Amino acid sequence: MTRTERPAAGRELPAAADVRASAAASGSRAPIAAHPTRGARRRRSPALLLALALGGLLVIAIAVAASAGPAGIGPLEALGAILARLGIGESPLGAVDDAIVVDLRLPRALAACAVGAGLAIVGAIMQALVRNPLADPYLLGVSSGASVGAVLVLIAGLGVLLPVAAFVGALAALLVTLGLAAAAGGATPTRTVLAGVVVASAASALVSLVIFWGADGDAYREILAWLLGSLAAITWPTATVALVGAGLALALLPTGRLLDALALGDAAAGALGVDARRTRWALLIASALVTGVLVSVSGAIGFVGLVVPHAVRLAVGAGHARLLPLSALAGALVLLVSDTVARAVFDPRELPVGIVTALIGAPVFAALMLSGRVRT
Amino acid sequence: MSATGLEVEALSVRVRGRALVDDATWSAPAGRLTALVGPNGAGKSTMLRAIAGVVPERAERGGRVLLGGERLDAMPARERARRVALVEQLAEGAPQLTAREAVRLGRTPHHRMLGFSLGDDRHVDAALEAAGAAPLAERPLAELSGGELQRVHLARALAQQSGDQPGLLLLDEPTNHLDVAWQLELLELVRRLAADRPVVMTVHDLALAATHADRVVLVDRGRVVASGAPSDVLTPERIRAVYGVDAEIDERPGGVAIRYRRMAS
Repeated sequence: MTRTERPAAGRELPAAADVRASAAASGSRAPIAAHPTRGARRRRSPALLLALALGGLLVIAIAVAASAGPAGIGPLEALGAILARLGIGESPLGAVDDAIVVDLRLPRALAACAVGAGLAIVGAIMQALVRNPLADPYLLGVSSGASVGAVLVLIAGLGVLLPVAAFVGALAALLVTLGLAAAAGGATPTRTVLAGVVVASAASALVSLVIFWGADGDAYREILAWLLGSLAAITWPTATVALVGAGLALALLPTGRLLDALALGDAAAGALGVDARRTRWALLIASALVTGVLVSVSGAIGFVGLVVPHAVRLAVGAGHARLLPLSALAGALVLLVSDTVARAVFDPRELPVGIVTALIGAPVFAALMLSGRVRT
Repeated sequence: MSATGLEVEALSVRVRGRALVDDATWSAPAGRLTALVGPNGAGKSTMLRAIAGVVPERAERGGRVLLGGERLDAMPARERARRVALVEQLAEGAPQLTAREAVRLGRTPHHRMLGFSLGDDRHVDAALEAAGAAPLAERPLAELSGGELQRVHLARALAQQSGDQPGLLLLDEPTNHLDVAWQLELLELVRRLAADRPVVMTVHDLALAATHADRVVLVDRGRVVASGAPSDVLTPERIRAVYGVDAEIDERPGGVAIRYRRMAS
């Protein structure tokens, strides 16, 4: 679907037309095509190139993120300090600067990568599962549930408990969603998604109610920051949670083939030995759990899980064996860059990263649309 | 030959007590093209899907399905999928895959846990070539015509089975939405594939079934009305009883033509 392929496709058109014309002329006798493997590997290399490019950019972005800020540390010094902690070489920085890079900025950068990668993978999976391009990681009401938990502890002034409360809220929302779907006559994927919509709107109404009733001043600002998604409070422990969430998301990468099979339709997938209902259901729940872990750390960051998979699809097509890993890389890069911008550009203030992802993401995606490469 | 043929014994599919397929018994020998015909809603597609191991939600399936004497209905899904391939009716909205990616999906039941197996490319190339779809390999499905799409789906079905002996091929309305030239070409291809395996296809066009199939199974309201050679099964009396129309059958060496009229009441 990229532009470079169009001429190749055009070149093959006459051959197909010949086949058909000769069939029409002779009345029968389908000719066996004579070019078995022409261009067989053509699509693989752009994906590989893109992966290498994204990986390289990610390393650069981590170095930049670890150096950006008031301490006046250069990206190469920051990279050196990080490598030193991994046992490669010696840190070029003094003890204080070294601690700023490795103990303050690195966990935040890694958490941004982890959350971005996880959200992008889960978003791509959700879009495939419900065959809806508007699906995102928050489909089953997970983020709304997390918000209820988060808002309650913020109002009560117990901010330390925030990640725990958010995860409990996410899990509770997932359980209510599944319970509602099961009670309504069996937790099929469609019913599960519908139940998720119900739970999500109930939970967000609850969040609004609590804010309207109890929040003032600082609490309100804190709540808003969390609702928009922010990585400002990341420390090594919470970064570790985010990395675990990303690890779980990466464990879902091998399901790409199953998602491709599901794209053929449930009956066709079944005839391939893939139980469509069970697969879809299991992946929905696994994705929601991963989302719950990520959201508990970062809040409900929008746009990454929705748009990154679409952008990657434009570049490499919809085959999930490529789409999922590349979405992970792109998601990590997008969120890391957004978070660094949110932190550094508006210094000394800081924006919730959710605002930046949308501010950067919307025009980029609009540009992709205008270039005529979005296929709907 | 019959050792690798398909035997359907008292197959039934029920949803909430309603029988979509009702005590159906018929067979499809290897090396023969068998056509499944019958009115809309007779249960043809349900029957094909049930043989491939796919039944509607909360359906009960009864009876036995044997391929080469082995029970398909008692087999694990992946093992069954290596012997039986189903090509569904062409539907709106092809998935956003290239033809090669779609054909590679046929290898799904051969994959181990991580969705990776060596030698896939060889099977995929062979299948693409056997279905005459090799020139289409790198094109997106969305850009293909109906006839080209059917070839790709046939290639997927072949990729699903390659490896050991040729398995059972089930085709649901393969000629639907195709113009006459593509229809003839596709049927030629299907006939060639039927040389060493059982092939079952559903069709609406009775004349097409009578002309191209070796055997015809006539289905009505989930039950098998008759099965056997086309000229024995498709008689004006049966067509009147099943479809409620008068039919005039014109058999010539080049094929069968049927003219239909509303029944004179």
